[in-house]
Amino acid sequence: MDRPLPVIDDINRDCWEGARNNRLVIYRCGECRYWIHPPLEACPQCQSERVAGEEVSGKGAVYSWSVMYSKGNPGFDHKLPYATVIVELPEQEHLFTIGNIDCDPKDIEIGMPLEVTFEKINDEVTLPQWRPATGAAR
Amino acid sequence: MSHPFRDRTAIVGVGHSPCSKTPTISPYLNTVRTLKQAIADAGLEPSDIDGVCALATGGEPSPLDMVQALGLPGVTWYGGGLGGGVGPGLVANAAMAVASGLCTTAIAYRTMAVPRPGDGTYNFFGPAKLGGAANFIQPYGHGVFMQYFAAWYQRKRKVFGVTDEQMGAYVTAMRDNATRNPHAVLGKPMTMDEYLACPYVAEPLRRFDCDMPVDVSGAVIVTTAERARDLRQKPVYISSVSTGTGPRPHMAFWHDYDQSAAHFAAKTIWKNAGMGPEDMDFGMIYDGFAPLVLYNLEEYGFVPKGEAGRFLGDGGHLRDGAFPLNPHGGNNSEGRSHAIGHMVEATQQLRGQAGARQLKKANTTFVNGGAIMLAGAVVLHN
Repeated sequence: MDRPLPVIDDINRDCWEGARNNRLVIYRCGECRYWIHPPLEACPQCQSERVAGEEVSGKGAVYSWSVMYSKGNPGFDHKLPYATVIVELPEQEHLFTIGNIDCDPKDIEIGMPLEVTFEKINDEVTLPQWRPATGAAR
Repeated sequence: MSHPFRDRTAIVGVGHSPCSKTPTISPYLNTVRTLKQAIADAGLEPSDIDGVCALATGGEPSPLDMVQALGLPGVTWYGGGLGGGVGPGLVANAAMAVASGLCTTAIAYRTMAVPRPGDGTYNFFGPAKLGGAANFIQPYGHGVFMQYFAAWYQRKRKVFGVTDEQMGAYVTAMRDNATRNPHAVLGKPMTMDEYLACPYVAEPLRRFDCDMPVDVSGAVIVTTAERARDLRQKPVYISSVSTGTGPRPHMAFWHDYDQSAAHFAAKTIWKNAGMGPEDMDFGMIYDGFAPLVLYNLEEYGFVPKGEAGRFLGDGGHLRDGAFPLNPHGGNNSEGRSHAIGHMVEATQQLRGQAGARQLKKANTTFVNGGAIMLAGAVVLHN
């Protein structure tokens, strides 16, 4: 079984259109400027319905991670073990996104600087992914 | 002034089915038998029940099913839901209904079942077609529930220095306690070496850190304190209850992995009880994943933040320790009952009916369910 792919809809479209163009896009409130992820139809801080995607820096840091050893995720059983990282984006405290990381799981540390990469799955879906920051300006 | 809820209600009956790692009878029949057992334990008749409360997920029969099953003409209150981390939360709901006069005698239950053929993988929460937050989780292979918790536990270990040996001290103690519990499905002693050799399911979470699906049913009957004094068993009074959650609906996208839902349930529990954590003789702490004990001990104030690992490493949780935990072996050894087993054990300990498991001092206890997204707690005394 292949891995499940996102269902692109009116709530999340900006994220996936951004990724298709190799840009990391996160939804943000047009009123109070609060970042919202995963996207919602109204801002949880001010309830404004004026929310839209904005490109972010593409930088992040490891907030936590785990290394999967068990079967159960469709499309991933042949990749075991693999790491998934909880990435904190610098745009807002505890603004998290989830992804895989292109490094040996043994090298992962909390706070490790990351930068986004893009994994093209098909013409519609590109997944934002993560790798250790190279230090080079992006 | 005393909180108006305090000691208004009491637990007067409990029932607990055997636990089994393989399919036994249907969840329906398991529930009917367990409710009958609890009603008999209380010295009541089914017709005394006028309130019913359950979560009704995972094949568990609903309160409506059980109104029929008990032959009741109807009830004046039924309820349930996720509030309060299931087991203790259901008892909290029942106690609130009794205290507020919606009913006089309520029965709360939780029934769980081993997956039957065709039920699919128990732990995979992913829908066939993604939507909502799952769009941002499952394409990365992060859709198995234990992975959510593994990422929490990883951070706990790194930020607060929790060690394998400290969690091993917890799990091995539960297996020792479970040798005295005929319900336990993992009732054999375990050595620290065996724990440390246990493979990861999702690093840093080991298989022995996880409870396991079982066929089980547990039931708790709550009535008014006045009525309780005339019934068969020594009443177990409910000093206070609380439930809580945090500002996010998803464990993976929680606002702060260092502040679980228990933080919010803890805000009212002790003030309303008129007692503090230091007044509890022992703890019935939820351990569906064993490291949940770390969060629950810290958030409810039994140890300072960041000290739970050391508490376990020092053996504070042992039967003869400073604050014994889960003398029945927890869900970790008894099987996954969403802490209804904790509620039953708490009641039996406070009645002095725990047999080989009976603790020397058991007049007060604290029971909790959940920890991360859903939290609920109950303070009891005899």
